[in-house]
Amino acid sequence: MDWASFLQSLANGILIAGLYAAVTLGLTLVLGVMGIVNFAHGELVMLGAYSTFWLFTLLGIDPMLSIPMSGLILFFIGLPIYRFTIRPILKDPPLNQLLLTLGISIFLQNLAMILWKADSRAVITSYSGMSLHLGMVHVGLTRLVTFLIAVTLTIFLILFLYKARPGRAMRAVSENNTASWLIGINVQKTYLLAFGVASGLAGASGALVSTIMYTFPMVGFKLSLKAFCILILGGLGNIPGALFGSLILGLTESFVGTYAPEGSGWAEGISFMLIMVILIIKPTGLAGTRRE
Amino acid sequence: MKKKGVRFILGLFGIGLILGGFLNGGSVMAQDTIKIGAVLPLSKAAFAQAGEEQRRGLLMALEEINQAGGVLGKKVELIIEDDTGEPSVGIAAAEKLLTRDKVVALIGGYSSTITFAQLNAIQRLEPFVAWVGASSTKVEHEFGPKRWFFHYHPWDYHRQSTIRDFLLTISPRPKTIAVAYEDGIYGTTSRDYVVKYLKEKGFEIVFDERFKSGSSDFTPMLTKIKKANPDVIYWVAYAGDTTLIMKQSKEIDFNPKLFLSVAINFPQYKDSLGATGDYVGGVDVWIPGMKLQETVKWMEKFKKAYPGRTPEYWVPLAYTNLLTVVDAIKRAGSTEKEKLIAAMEKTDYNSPLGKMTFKKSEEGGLHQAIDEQIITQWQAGVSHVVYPASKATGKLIYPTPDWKNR
Repeated sequence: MDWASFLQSLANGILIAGLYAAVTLGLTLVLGVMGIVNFAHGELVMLGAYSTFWLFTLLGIDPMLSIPMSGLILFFIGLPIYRFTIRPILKDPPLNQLLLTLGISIFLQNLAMILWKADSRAVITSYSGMSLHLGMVHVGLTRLVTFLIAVTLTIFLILFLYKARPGRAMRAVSENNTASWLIGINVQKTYLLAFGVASGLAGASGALVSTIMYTFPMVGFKLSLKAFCILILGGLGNIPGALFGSLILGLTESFVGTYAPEGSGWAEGISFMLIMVILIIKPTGLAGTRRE
Repeated sequence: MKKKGVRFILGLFGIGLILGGFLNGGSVMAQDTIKIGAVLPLSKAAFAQAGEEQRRGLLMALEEINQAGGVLGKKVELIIEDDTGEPSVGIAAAEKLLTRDKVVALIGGYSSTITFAQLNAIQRLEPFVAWVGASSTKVEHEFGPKRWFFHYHPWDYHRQSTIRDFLLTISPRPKTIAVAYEDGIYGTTSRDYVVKYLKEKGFEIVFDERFKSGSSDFTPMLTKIKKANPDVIYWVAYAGDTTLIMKQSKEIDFNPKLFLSVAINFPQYKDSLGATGDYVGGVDVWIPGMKLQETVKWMEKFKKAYPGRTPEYWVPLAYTNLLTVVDAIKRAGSTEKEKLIAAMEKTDYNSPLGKMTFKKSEEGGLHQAIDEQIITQWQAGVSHVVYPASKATGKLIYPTPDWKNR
């Protein structure tokens, strides 16, 4: 039994799961609170990645420091997006909502292409390639930090939803928005804040994408496909479920990639196979929906 | 009042349309240009770097041509279409240029997969095609024998035989090779040739798998390759993949004696990788550091047009593409297809890449421009030609030092 490879595969899977989880958090929040699947979420991540790239290139700001900055920038971009595009269609049939967010997604991808061209942009710092040697396993420093940040963001989000007033309002609204309104919660403001927070999370995860990979206008699209897989794996609207689903996807991709024959070719498509299998067996997702 | 207003506005519209028609008609008459169409990948991340490089080369050539008065007394009009990295869009773009814009020549090109689809669709028109892209011999077998098809880029076997010959010159000779390749026809055709050539000469292939270009995570694949412990890792991919493969090789401390790939001299190589990109070798068509007279002259022009940039071979190749086509038009004295084909066959042009003539190629092609390749290696942030000895500007560093010892 080749322990070195096995442990390395395990580590690879856990680490990439960190990135996937960070990307999926905001998507889960919006789905849980508003019941809307935001197809443009990936593009918000992409904008976060570009904001980190430009902060680094133009102002010399370290990508790790720009995580909260990109988060904040995207929070403020998310607010008008919600107010002018999402809010008007909250009560519309799901198909219309889907088409709208898909439209925003395509618009943002093309805007990015026009503004910044399609070349991939990378952010390299002095610590970019550094890796830690833990016994037989080599762990990339930036990936490890990403994983830790993803876990931190998840914990903070859960604390926010359970302890902070606006967070609890979000949970109330997601369970029953009429009852919430009746007891005095400003439902519209809560939705607005939820979308803003979700966009901020997207922005922060975009900063991580920019460091681990490279950024280009379509990077959001590829990541959102994985995020949808994780939503289904972890339960639609279920926040801890997002972390759990990310781990499953990350580990599956890693083990298939390393051990399956021709695995490197299969690994990218695994997310889709997982989606199909789970939807057939348990349509509400492995961990169940929040609304159950 | 309201009805009157509506009629007034309709009337304005009508006058506007008529005037517009006249103005358009006027400019059509003044628009007597020679139209050449190019299809390039300008928006797909993995291809866009090369697409943009080609566009720069084409625009450089266009400006030179038109400043000298154009050709046959007319200016040259270049229409560039984006294939967005999709075969279906590439086909539509090529068809549009040939049937709607009625271009006299179709140039450009990049991806083998898209090229194959395009040529399949447009061959019924038998257009004059002077194509810079595509290296897969699937294209050579199918379209090489067509009299209207002229091809510049080396075919895959030119690359792979150069790789084989280069590996044979290394001492001590590497024994085990890992081969990883992108899953389009560029990667699969390259892999087929390299595996065949290497096995013939006694090399042992310890890893042989495909991957999806554009993946975000190569660590599972690299972990598997590390386990196989090859002397050399050879991968066939596009620029974005190469960046990640090198970064992630460093992360998991993968230390083969040589990292070898294809075309590692794209402009963002140094910016994306920094020192992580050192010691990597690659087979290539041309680098700016080559010591040909035409190269030196052309580099001066390039530096003026695009200060601060380093060109990859796509720039001088696209530049040569347009100039040789216009040169053929001049010698033919016409844009009529048969005369163009005859003139193009007699091309003898001094380009920044060397002398351009069209010869037969090994697997059925009638008109092939380039067949020689070089091997380059990045050393301390500078790309050197390390093979063949006749063109070398530096010596190969082998074996590659471990990551911790750099």
